[in-house]
Amino acid sequence: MTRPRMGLPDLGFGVGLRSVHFDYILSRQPQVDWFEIISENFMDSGGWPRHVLERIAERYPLVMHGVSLSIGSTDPLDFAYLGKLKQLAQVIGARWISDHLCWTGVQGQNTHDLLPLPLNDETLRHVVGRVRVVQDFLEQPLVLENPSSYLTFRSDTLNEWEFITALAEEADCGLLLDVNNVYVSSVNHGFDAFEYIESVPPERVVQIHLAGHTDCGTHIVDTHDGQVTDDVWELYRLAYSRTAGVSTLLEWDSKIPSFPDLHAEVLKARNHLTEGARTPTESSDRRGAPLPTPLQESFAGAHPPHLILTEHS
Amino acid sequence: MSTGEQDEREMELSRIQRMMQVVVTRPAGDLIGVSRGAERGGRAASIEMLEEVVSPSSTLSGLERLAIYHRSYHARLLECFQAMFPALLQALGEDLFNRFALDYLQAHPPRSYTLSQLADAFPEHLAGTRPDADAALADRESWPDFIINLAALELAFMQVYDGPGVEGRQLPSGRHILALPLGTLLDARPALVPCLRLFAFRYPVSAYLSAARRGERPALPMPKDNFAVVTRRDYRVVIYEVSRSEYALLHNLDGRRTMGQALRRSEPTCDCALTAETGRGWLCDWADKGLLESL
Repeated sequence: MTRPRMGLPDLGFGVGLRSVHFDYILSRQPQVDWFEIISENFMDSGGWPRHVLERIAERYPLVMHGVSLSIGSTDPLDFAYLGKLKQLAQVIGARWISDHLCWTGVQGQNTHDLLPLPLNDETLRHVVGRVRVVQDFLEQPLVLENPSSYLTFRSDTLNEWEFITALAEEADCGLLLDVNNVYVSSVNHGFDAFEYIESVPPERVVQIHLAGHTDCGTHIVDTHDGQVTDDVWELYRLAYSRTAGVSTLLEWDSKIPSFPDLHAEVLKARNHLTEGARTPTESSDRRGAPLPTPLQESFAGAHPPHLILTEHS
Repeated sequence: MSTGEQDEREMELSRIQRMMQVVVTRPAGDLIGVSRGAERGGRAASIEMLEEVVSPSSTLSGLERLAIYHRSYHARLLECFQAMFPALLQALGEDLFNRFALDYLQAHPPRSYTLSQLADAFPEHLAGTRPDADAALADRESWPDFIINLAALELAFMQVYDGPGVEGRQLPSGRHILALPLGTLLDARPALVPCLRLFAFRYPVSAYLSAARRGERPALPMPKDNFAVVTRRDYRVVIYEVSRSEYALLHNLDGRRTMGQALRRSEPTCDCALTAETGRGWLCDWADKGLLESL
């Protein structure tokens, strides 16, 4: 029988480490339970970002979250990349390594997007085989996140929750349940988000992601650019209650607020869990509501880019 | 399922991924080109064929859903480019800057797992696609040099910021060099720090970049030779302007040549008398600025 969280620790309430907050974190050493990093931003770094990371690793638990593993690609796995991933995990003592159930490119290209997979038995076999290879190489369980998606394939034969459940069990890997992504995809594809959450094996859920999204009228985009909406908090409460306590992480990648505001947003999760309080947000129940005016064609960007360029002051 | 059937289904996944990548990475804003892009992917495809692969939603057709990824791909990478080259963006304006960046992305689609390598060949691409690329050097317009020079400097800034450095290491000091007997100095083999980049530009882009990074809106400069050193100290990127003669000597300090050899090799391109004591003075200055890794 699988132990809760695959035997991995409940780290509490953390936030994504972003370069705009480096100076604040180093100088103030805020009381944050843990940080999640974007693995690719630090794998080759020899400058200020890597220096900051190693200093933060001395004080805070860290988890590595990747965006380029491309576990669903039909290109061969990149073992040079995996080697760097493993090395970084050892240096900073990462509690686990996660990435996304997606593919990012083929024929040697990387679109830097989390592209969707056809959800059928053939894809499942393909991904299960690759997860096993990656786990053998990393010598630890891989934790995979359900991505938000904007299309489905006619060759789909499984629901996403059926797919990730079968994947987790057959490959013996962990799950990073992004409840915002569940919500985004449920609106885009017209499925029941609550059924999704209730169907995922709770003992496989190692971590939960929270984030904000943008309603474009005809679809919702996972923009990570605002507060968590009430709909997502509701899903979070359900997801959390099904686990034996699980690490919770807020992602915020565009229009990033000050660190105290960012931290305060994830700490709302405590209120939602302990008091069942409903924190007012800008969003109301999306289902059945009239569609708002679509955004301009300007970027309502899915998965904002993760690129460190901020120089320290 | 037989092995043959399984191979066939895996080929189907591969086919879908290749088709989707071709569509997603088509030139920005070319929705009609989505179908043409699929054709160029090696398999004739029409909008109807794409719709056979991608399901519609209650609000969007399959093609419209694909177009979300198409727009997102370009918007994401443009956002990265604009963050990487803020001064060039300011100089060109957003429309022209985006045209250059999108043209580069069509010629050099990203292949690295990290976005930090996204623009590694951007200056070379700009140089190779300048409107007068085929003209003799003497017949070329000078303004493209400004764009190419500025792109090269901003790229170097980013690479030096996040690349290997010498923080925490003991470096030679000016005082130590000043105390060296002349013979010892001329036999020394100075090496520059690994984070140092040396440039000879046709436009004064180092001053332009410095002003832009201070939040100013500098006027586009007139052509003027500009020799610049980009390096890092205590994790901060620093740009120094140097003279033509200093550039020549720095160029010859590779850790293998002696100081005496470097002085002799530099002399023909110098615009001043290059004595050993002049070289010593520069070396002291460079050491105090953290440009020397070893002697």
